[in-house]
Amino acid sequence: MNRNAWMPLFVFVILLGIAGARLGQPEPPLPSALEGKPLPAFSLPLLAGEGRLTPDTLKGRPAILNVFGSWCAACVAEHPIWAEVGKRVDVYGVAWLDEPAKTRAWLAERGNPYKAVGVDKDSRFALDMGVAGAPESYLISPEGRIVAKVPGPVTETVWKETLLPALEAMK
Amino acid sequence: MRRLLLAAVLGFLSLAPAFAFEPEERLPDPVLETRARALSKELRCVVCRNQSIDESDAELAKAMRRLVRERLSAGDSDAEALAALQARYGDFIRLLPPLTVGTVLLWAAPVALLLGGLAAWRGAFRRPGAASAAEIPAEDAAALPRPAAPVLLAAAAGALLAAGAAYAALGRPGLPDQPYRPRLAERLGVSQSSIAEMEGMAERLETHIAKTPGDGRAWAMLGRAERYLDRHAEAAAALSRAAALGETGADTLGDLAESLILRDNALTPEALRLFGAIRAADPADPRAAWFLGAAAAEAGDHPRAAAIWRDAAARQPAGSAWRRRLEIQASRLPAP
Repeated sequence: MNRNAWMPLFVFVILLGIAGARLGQPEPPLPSALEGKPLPAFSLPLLAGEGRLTPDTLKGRPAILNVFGSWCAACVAEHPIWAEVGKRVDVYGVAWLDEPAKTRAWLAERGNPYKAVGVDKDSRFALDMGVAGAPESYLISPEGRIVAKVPGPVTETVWKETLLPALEAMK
Repeated sequence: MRRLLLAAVLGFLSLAPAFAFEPEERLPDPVLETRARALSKELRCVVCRNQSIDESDAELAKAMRRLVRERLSAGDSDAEALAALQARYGDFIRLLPPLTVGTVLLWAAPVALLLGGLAAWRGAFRRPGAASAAEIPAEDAAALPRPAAPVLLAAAAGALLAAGAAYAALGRPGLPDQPYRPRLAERLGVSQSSIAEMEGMAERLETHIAKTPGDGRAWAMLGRAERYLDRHAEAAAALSRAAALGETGADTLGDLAESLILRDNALTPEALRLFGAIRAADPADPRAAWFLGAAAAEAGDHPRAAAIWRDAAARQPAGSAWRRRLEIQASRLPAP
């Protein structure tokens, strides 16, 4: 009997294997529609002091924009890395869907690694940036372009393998 | 009768939280509002992923609903508002994905694989010397085995055996037929003989009515019998006849309204008008309050629903089932 006769079965088993292996895996994060595009216009009140956080605040140097909230458990896990990252690049925070008083208490307890924190209480910034959950982080070029988006916590690995190389490439 | 009422009651317990959409979001312009609702049903909530933003309670979905309304109010077309969100979140934001190379490939791939597989099988089992003889050199054709009919037969037998084994494991050949009367009796929680009794009564009433069609009380009794037998269209017809003949007590009108609701499977304006009249005459009528409150909750007017239910609950005797039921219902409304 012809060997080709087994080809469909072979292909089927391979597809079955791929489907079976994917079944147990977590949902992949949403692909970003904004990578490579300039930052949308935004103007957020600052958590501390006068003035506002706008794309102009970030211009001239590479920056990281980190969306977080005092209600967000994964943000707690992620938080220590920003002190580390802050030595290499300016890190700005955006407190999303949060009461400023709660954000302040949260930062007072865990340390404030941010150069400035904007307040996005009603999700306007989040919607403009295509945020689907917290934490979410963006690497912004000196010209204000979104170079990379990290949905979910920035871990040591993500920092070393994704963000840091992209940051180095910019310099 | 009580069972039916309970069924209606249980049905409405699930109605209240069916919409996440909140009334204060509503736009004053009904045309814009309709467009906004329709668009919201097409947009995916990126937090819950398989809900539309119209159904989702997530804060982000709420913000998206607001954005849609702002854009429509500012004069955007539906397509422009959709495109604005698509630019930020990608095609994923749309519950009905657009036609792209990727989606066409996705939908065409199974068909292509199936056809490819069939073609491969045909090629493998083609009888040498048939149409393809020209493609196969003579010596190769001789070396090929005879057509693989036995293999095909074995595959067919194997498939049958596998299907038989699956049926033996999962199937229930011993499952008896379920005639209507026992099923109805079981659903209503009464004996089959009481169903038969009720059917007999309905028949006698029909003969009686055939002779004296002006007997409103007979029509009302027939309506209740039909309702008991779960025949809501007939019940509604008989009860509205009774009402037209002067049977306008709260019991009859309430049964009529309930039959209309059960018949149409919806809180129809006609039924709500009847309950409204009952409640106007007797604010303590628990059933009228029940359905009027459910209608308010369904329309998104939670404060009004709570007011109707709480008011009626306070008018029931302490410890009564209706009082408890109305209170529970009011407490289940989302906090304002």
